[in-house]
Amino acid sequence: MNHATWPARVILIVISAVIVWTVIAAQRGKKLFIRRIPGLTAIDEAVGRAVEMGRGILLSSGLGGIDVVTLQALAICTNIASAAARYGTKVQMPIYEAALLPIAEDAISSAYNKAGRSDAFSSDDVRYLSNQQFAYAAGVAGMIQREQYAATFLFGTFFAESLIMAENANMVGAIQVAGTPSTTQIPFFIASCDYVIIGDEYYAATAYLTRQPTLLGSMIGQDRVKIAILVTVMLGFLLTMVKLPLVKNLFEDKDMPAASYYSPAKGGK
Amino acid sequence: MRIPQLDRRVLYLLLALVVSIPLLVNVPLPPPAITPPTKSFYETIETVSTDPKTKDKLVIISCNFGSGTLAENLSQLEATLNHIVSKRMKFAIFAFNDPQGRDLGGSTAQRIADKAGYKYGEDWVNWGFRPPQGIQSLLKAMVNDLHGALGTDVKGTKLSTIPVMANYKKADDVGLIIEFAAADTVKYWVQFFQRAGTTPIATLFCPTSVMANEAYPMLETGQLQGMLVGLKGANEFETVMKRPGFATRASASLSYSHLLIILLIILGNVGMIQDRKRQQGATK
Amino acid sequence: MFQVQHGAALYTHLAGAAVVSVILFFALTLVPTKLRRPLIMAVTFAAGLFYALEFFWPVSGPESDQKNFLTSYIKPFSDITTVLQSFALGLGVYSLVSIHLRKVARTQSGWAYSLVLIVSMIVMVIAHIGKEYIKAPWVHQLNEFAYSGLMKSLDATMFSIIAFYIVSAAYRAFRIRSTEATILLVSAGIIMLGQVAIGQAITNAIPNEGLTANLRVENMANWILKKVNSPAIMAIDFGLGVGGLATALRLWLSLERGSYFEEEL
Repeated sequence: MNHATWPARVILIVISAVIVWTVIAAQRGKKLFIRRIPGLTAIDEAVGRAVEMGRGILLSSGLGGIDVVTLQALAICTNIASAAARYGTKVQMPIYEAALLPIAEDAISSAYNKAGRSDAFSSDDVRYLSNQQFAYAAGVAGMIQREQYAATFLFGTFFAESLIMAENANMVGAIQVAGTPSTTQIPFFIASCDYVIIGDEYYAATAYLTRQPTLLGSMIGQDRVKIAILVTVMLGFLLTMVKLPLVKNLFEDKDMPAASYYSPAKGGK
Repeated sequence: MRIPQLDRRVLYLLLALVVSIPLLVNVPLPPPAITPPTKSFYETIETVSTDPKTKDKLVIISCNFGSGTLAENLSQLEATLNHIVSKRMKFAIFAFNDPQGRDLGGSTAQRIADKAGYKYGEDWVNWGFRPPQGIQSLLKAMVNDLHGALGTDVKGTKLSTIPVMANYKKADDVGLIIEFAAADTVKYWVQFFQRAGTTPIATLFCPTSVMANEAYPMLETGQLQGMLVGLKGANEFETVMKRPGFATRASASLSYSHLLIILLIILGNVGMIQDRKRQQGATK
Repeated sequence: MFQVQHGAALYTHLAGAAVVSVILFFALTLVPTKLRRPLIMAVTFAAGLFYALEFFWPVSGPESDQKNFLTSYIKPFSDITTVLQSFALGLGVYSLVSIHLRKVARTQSGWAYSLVLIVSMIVMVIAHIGKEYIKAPWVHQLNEFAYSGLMKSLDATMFSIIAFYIVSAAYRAFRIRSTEATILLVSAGIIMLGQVAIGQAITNAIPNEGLTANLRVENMANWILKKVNSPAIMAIDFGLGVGGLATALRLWLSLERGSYFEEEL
């Protein structure tokens, strides 16, 4: 869709309005609840373990560019860095995207400042490795084997190299917490990491960690939208059972003559 | 007999043996079952190449993979290109996610095209690599003006001067898009190019096995017309085409390594149950 | 305004852009502290507004060429991102080289590897950029060796390591610890067998028609992938899409103070 159709316009504006409205309501003091997310609760445990073992922490914001996913990863990493800095634990953050380097450096430095440990921050700890997927993975694997981190946090966009980093961290006995919107990498993280944040929990992470009303409100707004989507799906499902369309061609998409080339599976449908 | 926990080095050695032996020695393997996505992939190319509305249109072969996924994507590319050239369809190689795709796709296309008697510039062209950052606007611009948006081919020749491109100027002149990728780059074609012309363009996807999971929803909804799933899909396609290649040879490695993993998982679980029983016995 | 320039006009435009950039840079440093946040908010909003307006504004024109008054500016503005990426790459290279040069100069632990990195970088730059401008055969041979011979092979090697890690991860993780873990194990087993010829051969004797076809392992695997896995991924994608929209909205409308959600507005 290069430009919005009328249904897309209406739906997107309504969704945005619901989210913004809930954020404003939260900022006005409304109390909001968020359920326990084990992976995020484990962050404190992981940082504590690193402090006890006297070993460092690795943060990775993944292989994305400067986009929503990576900025969210950076926000989570900043929270972790702040907690680690408070206890004097070394934090290192290899960077994939060169344009992210100054932003990440500033974020981690601010985290150290916030923890009152600005003297402990070294710009060498936030370093650019490579913008080639496997060169980055090799670099991170090398860092893990040399530094023997006690905890690794992998948040952001990941591809095939995710297992390289996670398994290497497992080899050195690090506790691992991972979260990614890349659904293809979730199984690999589940097999190799101790805690995994799946799907929408990724975007709820900062709300969970900071309990900021703005972020909590945004999350509640998201939940309301998802409930509306769920209701629509259920309604469509029920109407399809009685062979009634929900609304004919709601999104006015062109008919796809080539779809007739695809023949349904035998035995599966 | 107690089954001990195996050191990871033993696991790696076993895998190395299981993968390499079938590549060196001919190990017997039953032929694969042809799954519906592969069947649809084949039938789509057959239909596009015989339908009067699409048989003279351009096929865009988008190679967005690097040397890391050669075993899967290159096998798929070779099998597909052999099919395309056997149908005498004109094609263009393109890459926008990985610059290696331009070289790997280009060299494979050159080899297969030469064998088929294709001439560069008259029967096929390599559009080269474009940076991924601007791909959305590039694809949008390509909808109405392929020559203007892309500019030159990989050799620096203006597209408007290349004979094969004379009849292909916009999205409506494209009959088929085939994406070979190690990432979810097919979404760009589906979102910005596939339905931007007057008629939708049939789109096929050749991902690695891992990326295929994300593409199944698109297959179900009809946004994709077929898919070759990793090395297995390439093997199935070679079987359908009756043209065994690397994928057919490597599928033995794939099969036996899967069996090894299942066996190791069973052994691991047996060992775990034995340990649990021993611990329960010790506490009693 | 965004026409491609050549010759003297190109250099004039480049010089003009450099002068404007320097003036803008100094002007920004003179902005009072309390006005910086509103300025950032305004620029962020304007930048996002452009793309949002272009997407939402009604279009006109033939069906194959629908556009509005902003559409023709999409490509030039997207080119700005490419330019910024190029600047950032220089910054990344500087960071990398300075860290490793310092390690070599101080002969810290692992300095030899840092030296290898710097030498490799120099060789690769000479080979890959040199092949575009230097016609000497040794440059092309060096490029062939470094890029096709070394880099592509190393890339493929790193990717292959994943296979070994999958084995060790699967051996360690797929244990019957709970009901969910057992379901995961059994479905993983069915899908693994259904994906390969030798697994499919186990149930080859079962006819592929009627009800019995559902007992064939490749049909079971296909069913799990299409009817269980696919809807689950779509459901996760719904949540991620809405979450991404919410985060993007917060960033665009600057609904949180400071960088990275630190303080309340």
